[in-house]
Amino acid sequence: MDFMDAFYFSTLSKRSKQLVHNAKYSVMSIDFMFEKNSKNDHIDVATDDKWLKISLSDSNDHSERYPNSIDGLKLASLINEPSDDYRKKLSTHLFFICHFRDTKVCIMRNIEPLCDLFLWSIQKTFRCIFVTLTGSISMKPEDLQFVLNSLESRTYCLNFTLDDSSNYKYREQLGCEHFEVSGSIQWLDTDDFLERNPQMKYFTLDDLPGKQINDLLKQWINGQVNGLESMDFFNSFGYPDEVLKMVEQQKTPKFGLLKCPFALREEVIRNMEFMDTFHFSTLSKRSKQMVHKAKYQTMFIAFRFEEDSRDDHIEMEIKHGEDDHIEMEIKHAENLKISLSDSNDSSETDQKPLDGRKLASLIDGTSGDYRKKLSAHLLFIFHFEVISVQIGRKIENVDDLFLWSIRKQFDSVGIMTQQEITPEYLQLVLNTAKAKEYYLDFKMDDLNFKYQLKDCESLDASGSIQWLDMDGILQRNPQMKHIHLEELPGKHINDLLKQWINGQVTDLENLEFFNRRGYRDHVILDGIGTMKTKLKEDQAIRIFMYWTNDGRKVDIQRKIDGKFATVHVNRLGCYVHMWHESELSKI
Amino acid sequence: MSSTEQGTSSAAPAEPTTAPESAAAPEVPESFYYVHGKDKVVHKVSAGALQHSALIHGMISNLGYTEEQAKANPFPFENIDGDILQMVVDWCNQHKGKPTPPEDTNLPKQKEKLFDLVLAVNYLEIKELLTYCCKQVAMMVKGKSPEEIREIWMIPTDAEDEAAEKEAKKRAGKEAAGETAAAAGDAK
Repeated sequence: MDFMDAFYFSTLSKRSKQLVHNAKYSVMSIDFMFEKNSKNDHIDVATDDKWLKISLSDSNDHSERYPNSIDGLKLASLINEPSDDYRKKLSTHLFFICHFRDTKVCIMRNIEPLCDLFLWSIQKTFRCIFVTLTGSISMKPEDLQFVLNSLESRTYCLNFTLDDSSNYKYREQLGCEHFEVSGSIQWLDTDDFLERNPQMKYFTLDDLPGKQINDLLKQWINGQVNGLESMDFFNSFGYPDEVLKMVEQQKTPKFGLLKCPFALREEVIRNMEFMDTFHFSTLSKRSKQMVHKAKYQTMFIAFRFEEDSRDDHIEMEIKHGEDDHIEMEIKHAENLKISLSDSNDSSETDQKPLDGRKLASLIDGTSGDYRKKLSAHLLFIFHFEVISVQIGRKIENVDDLFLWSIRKQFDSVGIMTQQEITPEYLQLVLNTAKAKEYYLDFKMDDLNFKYQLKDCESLDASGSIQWLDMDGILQRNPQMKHIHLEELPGKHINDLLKQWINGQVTDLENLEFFNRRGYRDHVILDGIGTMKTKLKEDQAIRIFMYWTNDGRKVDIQRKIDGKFATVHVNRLGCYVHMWHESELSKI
Repeated sequence: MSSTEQGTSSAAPAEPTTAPESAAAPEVPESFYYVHGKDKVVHKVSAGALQHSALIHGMISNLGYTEEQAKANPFPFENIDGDILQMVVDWCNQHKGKPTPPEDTNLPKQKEKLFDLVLAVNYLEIKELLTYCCKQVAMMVKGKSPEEIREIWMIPTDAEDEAAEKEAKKRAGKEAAGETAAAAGDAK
């Protein structure tokens, strides 16, 4: 039946009324609308195909009822029930005969007294309650208390200004899933809000102070499991980032790392960021030891003593993860500079380094020299693949340099300075700091001094070169692989090639010599048996960085094992590459 | 695929996938095993998903259980909370037969459960998930000051460590003395 037909039929008798009730006549929704003007009060009924409005005006003149509405008084008069209030009679009848799938109430004015409204004696539970008081109308705290406490709804949409708003606070459970507040907000006590309303799914609050938003976020982070899906906050002035920053400080729950097995702790440490690991290592002796044992991987550390001592620093390249792919490694590489200035002033540098003094102050222990404390700590806790020292000036009292008391063995040592170096200074450095690789570029006037370098694998020397004793250099350095020398006289190269031809098996792989005036091939190859090179052009180009079409290209052969070396002398320099016949096809 | 059953296992054996007509050989039906945690809720997991766990894979590799035997003998992990085991099982199912991408959005993110999850994953030897979990733990202290790290990871100071060590020694001494006295009493 049509809704109105069903209504009329239900008014015929008690039996017909009961019949409609028993038929469970289903209607989509019923909304009770209490408008700004009570003459416009009405019921909205939505059936599956119609939208009906029934006037609930409290005026005696029903001709002034809500536009296009059916006269509720007339409908109520059809119902054979005694009642002082036709609205109550009609509403009760409708709730009895129909099954409304959705019920709403919308209050748009102050109703005096609200708690005595006829509707509450019929229905106190709704799907949605709207209270929208606009203009100069304000809500009384007792009415708000009544709406929230005495009525039940899954949704509250509240938009009003509250009387006495400075004092009243609503602290009780709301019992709803969806909550929207605009207008006044200060009446809402947000302390333990989520705990009081665990069933809340989403709420929208306007003009809530940022501090309270921050508190609500913390309630969610630290609270129990609840059904909350979203919180929206609006403010015409926007909210500052501090709302979140304050949360960020709070949001990390605690984690008892020391309760984890050793292997697990170490895996966690290996996954930490470099500076986090450093900070962690400063917490206690135990944490320092943990980082050491975790073998945190880093690419290199270089102790750099610059031309200006205020620029002295540690340079590190840090590797994250264990990517085998070389491009990934480059992508993940991160450089870090820590100042090791011996002065409180800092010079103008391109990159602002981390303050070494500050970092050292985090490390427990006493040390007169912060640089020593910091360097020792870094070298203990981290495992660097390459450790090097680069000296860029003539350091005063270099024999007392703080670094030597921590470490004397390095992967590479460099002395590269424009300043003139004395034989004593060079001896002090090279006798103290031992390395596999040396990068030496400086000037020395002394023409008589000779230094016998030992146990070196790679040598790169330029500037002055006469201090380097070339006699028996391959015998003293059997593991030498690469030699790069500038301005070495041709007869010394000739001697070096003879050392290789007549000597024992060594690891030598290549030699490079540069000379501003070029080399004469007959000087270099004087007294040496040569052969036409077996290297093809394309092989030579692959091997030699400076292979040119001009100059001389010959092979020489070591006596002891028959290993070959190709010698190429051109206008730029002299280059030698050692190879074994069995390797030729692979080149 | 997985199912969770309260108390006892009642999951039906998986239906073998119907091979397409053009396929040369019929697919071998996947075998399933059953695990339960502290809460005794049994999870049905495919052998393929369980391969992520070196521990379980080692346990099942030589069993040769039938479906019925597997059902009757769920692997008990009494040291793992039920919700944690559920997370682990879900992850194993999602990554069955495929490597974990560097940024895995399917991984469990509940920080409050991270400690239990890390311990469980470590125990079950699920290498890829463990690496991810360890990264998550490491990220908890990213950019924090030393004292913040101390607080988050609950790292005692040297003084606290020393006091705890003294206390442990004292307790061990007392226990040793008690045992000596008890042994002397027995001898009498």
